[in-house]
Amino acid sequence: MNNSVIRVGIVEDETLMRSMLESTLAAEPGIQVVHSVPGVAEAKLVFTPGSVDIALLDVHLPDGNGVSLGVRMQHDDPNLAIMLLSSEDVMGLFTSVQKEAPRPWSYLSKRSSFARDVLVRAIITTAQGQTVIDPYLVQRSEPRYGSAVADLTPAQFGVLRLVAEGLSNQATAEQLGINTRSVESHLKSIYQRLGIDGDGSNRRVAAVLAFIEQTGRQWRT
Amino acid sequence: MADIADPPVSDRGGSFLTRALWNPQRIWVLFSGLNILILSVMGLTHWAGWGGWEYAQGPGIHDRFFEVMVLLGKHLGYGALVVGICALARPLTWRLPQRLLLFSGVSILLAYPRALLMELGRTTPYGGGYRYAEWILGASAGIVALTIGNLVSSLVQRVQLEASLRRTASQRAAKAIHDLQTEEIRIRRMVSDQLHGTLQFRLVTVAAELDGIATRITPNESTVSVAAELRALSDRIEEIRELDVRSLSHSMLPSGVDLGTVPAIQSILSRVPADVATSLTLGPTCQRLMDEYQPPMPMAERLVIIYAVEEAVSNALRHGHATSLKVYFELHLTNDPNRRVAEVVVDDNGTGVPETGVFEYSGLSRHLERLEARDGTLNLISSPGGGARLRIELPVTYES
Repeated sequence: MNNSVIRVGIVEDETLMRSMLESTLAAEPGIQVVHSVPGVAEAKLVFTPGSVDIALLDVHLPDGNGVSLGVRMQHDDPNLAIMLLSSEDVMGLFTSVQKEAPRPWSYLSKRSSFARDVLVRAIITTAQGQTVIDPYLVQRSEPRYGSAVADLTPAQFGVLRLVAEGLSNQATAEQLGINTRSVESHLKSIYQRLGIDGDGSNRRVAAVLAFIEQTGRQWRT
Repeated sequence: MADIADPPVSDRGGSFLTRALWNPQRIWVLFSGLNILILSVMGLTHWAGWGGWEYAQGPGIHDRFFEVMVLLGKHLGYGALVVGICALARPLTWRLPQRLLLFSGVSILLAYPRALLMELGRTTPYGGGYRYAEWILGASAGIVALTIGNLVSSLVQRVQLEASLRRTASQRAAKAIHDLQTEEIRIRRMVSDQLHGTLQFRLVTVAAELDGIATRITPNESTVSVAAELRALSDRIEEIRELDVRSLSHSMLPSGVDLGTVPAIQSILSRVPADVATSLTLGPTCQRLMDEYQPPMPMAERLVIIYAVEEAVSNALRHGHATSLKVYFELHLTNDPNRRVAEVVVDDNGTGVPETGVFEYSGLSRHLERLEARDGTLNLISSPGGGARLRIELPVTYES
C-alpha cells in the first residue's frame, strides 16, 4: 500500500450506487478510486495485481458473485484488502471465506455505505489489515445461545461489538466513556474466554470472526 | 447433454461373451447350431434304441465308438453345412417368407446327400424307402432347427429393441428434466437478481434518504420526535427489505447457493434466531475436497439439498420449538471418480418426530419426491439426543 494514498477499486452493478461511491471517495483526501466497473468480466480485465489496495465488491453481480470474485482476486494478489457490499445480510457467506483468506475481509451493508464517515472509516481500517463489520448489523447482533460469545459479560460484548465495527481501542473507549486501559483489559479477557491466541492484530481479527460466527441478528421483535 | 443415441456395444456392459453374442445373427447361428446338436443326439438315441448299438457290436468297443462317431459326424456335418450356407446369405436381412424359403431350400437340398451317406453306414438300413424317409426327416430337422433359431433370434431382437426404446425414452425423460431444471434455475436466478438488484437497492436508497433527512433536521424540541420517527420508518423499511423481500428472493434462489453447498448451509444457519444454538460440522472427505478447491456439486443437486436442509431447520424451529440445531455434511466417494454421495444430517432438540403423517405434517413430502427422483433418500427419525433427525442421501454426478 502506498503510504499516503489508499487506491480503491469498485465493482458494483447499480449505477447510482457506483456513482455515489465514486463521488464520496473522490472527495476524500488520501483515497483514490482507480477502477470502477459494473461486473465480474470488467473487473477481471482491469484489476491487475498491485493496481489497488482495497476492492469494494458488490455481492450480487449480474455476471457472477462478489465473494467468488474476491477469493480469486486475493488469490492473485494476497495483499489486496476486500470489502463486500450488499443490500442484505450476508454474514453467513462472509464467514465461509474469512477463515481461508490471506488477508481479513470486511463487510458493509449498502445502507451504511451511504454514510460517508462509516464508509471512509471502514475503507481505511480494512486497508490497514483489520476486519470491519457493518455497524448497523453489529448493533442488531446478539450472542448466539450456547456459544462462547454468549459467555461474555455485557461490558465485554459491548467492547467486542465496537471492535467488530472497526473502531480502535481509543475510539472504543471514547464511545463507551471508559479509559483505553479498561478497553485493553476487556479485550484481554475476551481473547481468553474465546480461546484466541496469537499476536495483537491476528487476535483482533479472530475475535471479530468469532463475533460473526457466534451471533445472530434479530430483525422483528 | 450429449445427443440421445443407443450406446455402442462396448458400453452395454456384461461379460465378453454377452457382448460377443449381442448380434442377432450370431444368436441365430448359435441357436440353430444348438438345435442341430440336439436333433443329432436324438437321432443317435433312436438309432441306439432301434438296435443300432447291438448291430454295431464287433470284436471290440472301438467298432461301436467308430460307428457312433461316423453317424454323429454325418448329422453334425449336415447341420454345419445347412447353418453355414444360410448364414453366408445373412438370412436376418431377408423378409420372413424369403427367409423360410431359404431355410427350406437349403435343408431339402442338403438332406438328400445326407440320406445317401446314411445308407453307407454298417448298421443303418438302405433302400429307396429308407432313403426317402431319411431325406424327409433330415430336411424337416434342418428346417425346424433353422426356424427355431430364427424365432429365438427374433425374440432376442425384440427384447433388444424394447430395451433400446426404454433406454431412449429414459434418456429423453432425463434430458427433459435436465432442460426443465436449467430453465427453472434460469428463471429463479432472473427473478432473484431483479429482487436483489432492483427492489432491494431501491429500498436501501429510500432508507438511506430517510436517514439523511433525519440527520439534517436541526435538533430542537419540536423536531426531535420527527427525526426519531424518520429513523424508525427507515428501520421498518430495512426490516421489510431484510425479512420479506429477502425471504421472497431466497425462495427463488437461496443465498450463497452460487458459492457452494456449505456456504449456503452456513447462510441458512446464520439466519436462525440468536436464541438457538447452531453448528455445522463437515465430514473429513468434504473438508478435504474443500481444502483442495474441488468444484462444487451441480446446481440442481445443490438446490435439492439446500431446500431440504432449510425445510428441516424451519420445521425444527416452527413445529419442534428446538433450541439447538446441528448440521453434519459429508461427501462419500464411490468407485466412480465423478460420482459421490452427499450425506446431510440435521439434528435438533425439539419436540421430536410426530407419530403419524410425518411427511405431510412437516412439509417434507415434496423434498422426498425430489430426492427420490434422483435416487436419493430422506429419513425423518428420532434424534439420539432427543428431538428429530433428518437424514438425506443424494448421489451426485460431477462433470469430469
